[in-house]
Amino acid sequence: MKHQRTLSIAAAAATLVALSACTGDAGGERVGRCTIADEFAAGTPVDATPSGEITFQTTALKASFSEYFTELIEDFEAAYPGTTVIWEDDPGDGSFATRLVADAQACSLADVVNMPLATAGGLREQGFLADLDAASPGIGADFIPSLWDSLVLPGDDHHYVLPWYWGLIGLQTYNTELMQRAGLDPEQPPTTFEELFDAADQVAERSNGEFSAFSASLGLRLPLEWQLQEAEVIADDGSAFVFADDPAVQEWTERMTRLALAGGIPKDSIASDDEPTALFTQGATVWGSPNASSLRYVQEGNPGVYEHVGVSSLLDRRGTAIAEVQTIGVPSTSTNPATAIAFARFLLAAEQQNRFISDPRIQNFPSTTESLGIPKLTDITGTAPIDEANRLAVELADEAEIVTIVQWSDAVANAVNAELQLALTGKKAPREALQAAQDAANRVIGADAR
Amino acid sequence: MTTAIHLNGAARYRPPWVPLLWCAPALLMITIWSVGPFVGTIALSFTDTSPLGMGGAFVGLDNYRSILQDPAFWSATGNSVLYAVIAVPLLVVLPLLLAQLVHTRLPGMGFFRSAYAAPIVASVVAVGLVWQNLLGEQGPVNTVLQRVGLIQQAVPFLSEGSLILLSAIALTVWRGLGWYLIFYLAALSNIPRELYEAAELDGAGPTRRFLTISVPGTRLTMLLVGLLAGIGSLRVFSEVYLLGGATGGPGGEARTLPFFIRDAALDPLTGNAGYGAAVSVALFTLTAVFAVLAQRFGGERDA
Repeated sequence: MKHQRTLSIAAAAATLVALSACTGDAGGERVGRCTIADEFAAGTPVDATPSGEITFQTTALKASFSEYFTELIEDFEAAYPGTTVIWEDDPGDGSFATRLVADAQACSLADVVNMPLATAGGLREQGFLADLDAASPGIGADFIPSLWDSLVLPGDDHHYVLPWYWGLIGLQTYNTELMQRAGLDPEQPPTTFEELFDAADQVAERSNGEFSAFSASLGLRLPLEWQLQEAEVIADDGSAFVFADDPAVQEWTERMTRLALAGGIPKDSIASDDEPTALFTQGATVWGSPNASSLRYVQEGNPGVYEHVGVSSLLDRRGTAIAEVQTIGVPSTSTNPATAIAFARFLLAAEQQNRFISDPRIQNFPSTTESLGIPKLTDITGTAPIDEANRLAVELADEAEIVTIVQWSDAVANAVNAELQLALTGKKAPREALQAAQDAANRVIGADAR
Repeated sequence: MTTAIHLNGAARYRPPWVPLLWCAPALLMITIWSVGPFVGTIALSFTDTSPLGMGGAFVGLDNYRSILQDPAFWSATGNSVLYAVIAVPLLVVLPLLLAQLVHTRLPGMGFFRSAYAAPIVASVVAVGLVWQNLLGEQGPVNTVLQRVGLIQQAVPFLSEGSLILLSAIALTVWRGLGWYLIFYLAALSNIPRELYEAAELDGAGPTRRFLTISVPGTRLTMLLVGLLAGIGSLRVFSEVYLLGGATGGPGGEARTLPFFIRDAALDPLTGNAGYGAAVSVALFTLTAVFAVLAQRFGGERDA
C-alpha cells in the first residue's frame, strides 16, 4: 500500500512538473500568457532582414482567390529569399471573432491577419496588435488619405491596422419595375431617409402585399444608416452610447416601425441576419443592398430583376460616403515581426492591389491612391447597373471615410437589434425600445457601471 | 503443468500498481483535457477575466450574484428548460415508435431506415436553411395551411419568439429521430423473437405486444436516450441561431443558455469570460440535476 501511494505521489509530481514546464516564464513583455515580440514591445522600427516562416490568415477568400494568393506568396518569397508564407483562410462565419479570441488566448494568432475593424479594436484594446506607425514609419504613405486618416482607433493616434479592400455605403439599389408598380418615379429616387421612408410607405400601401419596400436587416443597417444622418451614436469620448436621445435616430426608429407594422418590411427579415440582396434578387423588395458589390449576385441570381435595377447615391446629411473596410493587422505576439511587416506591406502595395481589384468578380475598392487609377475604375463605359454603380462609387471613393464605431461589437449589435426587433414586431413602442436598446448596449460595454 | 505454474505465478506476483500503470495514459489524458478545463472553468467563474485572458482579478461570488439578478439569464434558463421538457419526451417516444415500425419485416422498410438516418449526416446549417425556407412567411408550410383554409394569415414561425423556440424544438426532434432510432433498433434486435411469437399465440395484438414486450425491453435505452436528448437540449444553440437569427428572435425571446454564454463571454472587446464561466457552471448544474432526476426516474421504473 505504502509503495502504491509513493508511486501515485511521484506520478502526480511528475505530471505537475511537466505541466508547469509548459507555462514557464520565458522573459520579455507579455500580453495575457503570450510574449510580445521585442521589436514591438520597444516601439522601435523593425528593420531586420525578412527571413523564416510566417502565417497569413485571410477571411473567406480561399474558394475564389486561391490562384491570386498562391502567386502573391510565390512573388513575396522570391523577393525575400529565405522566407516562407503559410496561407490560412478562415470561413469568416458568425464564429470568426470567437475563433480569433481563442487563437489570441492560445498565443497562436497568425503573423498577418485579415479582420474587420471592430474586431481589431478589441484586440488592440488588449494589446494584441502591433503599433504599425512605430514598427514601420511611413507605412501609410500610399493609402487613400481619407481612409488612412480615419483608421486610427479610439484613444490613440497611431495605426494598428492597415486598410485593404473596402466597400462603400452611400448608394441605393432599387427595382425600377416594382417602383413603377407602386406609383413611384424611378427617375426621382429618394435622396434622404425621410424621402426613402415616404416612398417605402407608398410601397406598403400600394403593393397589395405582393412585394415589400426593403428587408429589415438591422444587423447590416445599423449603425451605418444613423451615421449617414450624422446622428450622435456614441459620446465623443466613447464612454457611453447616446443614440436614444438623437432626433434622427428617434425618427428613423419610428418610421421603420410604422413601415414594418404597415407590411412594408417582410416579417421574416426582422429577426434574421439575411442580406437584403437575397429578397431583392427574388424580386420581393423594391430596395436592395446599399453596397454595389451585391449587384453581381443579382446579375447571376436573377437576370430578369437585374435588368430593372437602378442605382443612385443616398448620402443624406453626411454628404460623403462611408467606407466599410477589411483591415490587415500584425499581432504584437508575432514571432517573426520583420517578415510579417514586410509581407503586410507587400500584400497592400499598389501593384498587388491593382491585380486583386482588377479581377472582374471584385466590386470593392483598393486602399492605395494609385490603385484608384486602374482602368477598371477609371474607364467605365458600360451602362449596366454594375457599371453605373461603379461609376458612382468611384466618384465617391476619394472622400469616403471610415466611421466604424469599434465599441459596436457583435454583442452590442445583438443587444440593440433585439430591442429594436420588438418595436418592429409591435411589442414595444419605438422610443421605449430605443431607450432599452441604449441601456442594453451600455450594459454590454460596462458604461452603466462607470 | 509447467504452464499452469507459470500462469498462477504471474497472477500471484503481479504488483498491485500494474493496473494503474495501464490506465495511466487514459487518466492523464482525461485529467488534462476534461478535468483540467472543468476545474479551470470553475476557477474562472470567480474572476473577471476578459475573453483574451487579461485581467482576471478574483471577484468572489460577484459573477454568481450578478447572473442570479439578471433577468436575461432567467429568461434563457427558462427557454433551455422548456426546450428540454418538450424535446426530451418526444425524442424518447417518437424514435421508439418509428424503430418498432421499421423493425417490422415489411417490404420497402430498408428505404425508410435510410431515410430516417439521412438527417444525421446532413449539416445543421444546411438543415437549418431548409427549415427556414419551409417555415417562412411565404414558405410551403404557411402556403399549404392557407390553401387548405386552416389559417387566414401566415403563422410567424420565424418572427415570434415562442414560435421560433417551438420551431427549433421541432427541428431538433426531427434531426434526433434517425439518431435515436438506431439506438432503439439495436435494443429491439436484442429482444428474443420468441417473446413476440408467444404473446401473439396468447392473442396479444400489436399494441399490447409493443407495450408489454418492446417498451420493457428497451427501458434502459429509453433512459440513455432521455439523458442524451436532455443534455443535448440544454446545450442547443445552432437551431435557435439559424431560425431566430443572431439575437435569438425579437428581443432575444428565444435565447437559450448557450446564447447567453456567447453574448456574455465571447465578444473580444466587451466579453467577460468570468461571467460566462459562471453561467457555464450554472448550465452544468442544471444538466447534472437533469441527469440525476432522469436516473432516479429510470431507476424507480426498473425497480
